[in-house]
Amino acid sequence: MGPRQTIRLFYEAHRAELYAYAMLLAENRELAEDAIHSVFYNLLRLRRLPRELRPYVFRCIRNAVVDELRRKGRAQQCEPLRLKPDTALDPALRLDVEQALAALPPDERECIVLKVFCGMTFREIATTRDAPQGTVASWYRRGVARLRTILTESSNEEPRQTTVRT
Amino acid sequence: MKNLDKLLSGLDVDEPPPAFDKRMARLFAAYPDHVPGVLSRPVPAWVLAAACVLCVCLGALLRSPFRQASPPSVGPTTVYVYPLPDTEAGRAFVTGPAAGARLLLQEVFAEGRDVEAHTNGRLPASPDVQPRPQT
Repeated sequence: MGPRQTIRLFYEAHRAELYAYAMLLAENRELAEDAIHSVFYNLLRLRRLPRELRPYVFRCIRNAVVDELRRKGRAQQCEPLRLKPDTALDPALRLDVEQALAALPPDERECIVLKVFCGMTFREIATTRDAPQGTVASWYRRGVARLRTILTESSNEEPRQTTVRT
Repeated sequence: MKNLDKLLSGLDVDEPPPAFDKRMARLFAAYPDHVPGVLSRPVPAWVLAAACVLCVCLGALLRSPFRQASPPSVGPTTVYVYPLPDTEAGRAFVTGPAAGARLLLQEVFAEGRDVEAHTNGRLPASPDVQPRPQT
């Protein structure tokens, strides 16, 4: 399998996670799409792929988004991360989770998204973020605790059924 | 919110819009996996045959200027094998300095043949081997 085919298959397997991560960082659809496109454009020109492709690509996307944000500035209207609507969960609960995620500090939110929705390990997240693994783990723990608090408070305010539909 | 892990595992991120998928598909189509290079491009059989004929002709033309005369034949070399005599000169030949060889050859050619003629002057000029003390 050639490197370009590997990259194409990688994109097809992780396209939702990559898009979500870029959207999480950019909070703008156009900027996120441009970042992913430019990263894969550069990847397709590589002669040799890095050993660990997933953290490398996520890190490239992060760098591309940060560069674009430095150059263009953050958009006026922020688009938060969207979760998949056709899930078995209550739509209202999904919106609560989206709002709770948006309320988290950026490092914790990013760590939760990479761990939970992108299925990355702490080591891969540490490589992506260029941060120590212990720091990443503590970001995740604090984020989950904060997310639990936010969701508990919101469920106390509005009693809502939180069971999983079958 | 006790079962937060279960809740999060039941959620999934949204898919990218179809327009973006098309944009990425165009990008991947622009960079196919296998680009035929110069060496991997298929070559017609007649081109190969013509190249072979051309190489043979060029080889035949170039062979004669580079042909060299055969090197002069070297005559047969005669190797004389003599038993090593159990004398002082024989021992000096084995264990002593190189000058001992001259003494040995003088012994071997006892009939008085010219040692220099047989050794082509490769031996030391003077036989300065001292007899070893008997232990």
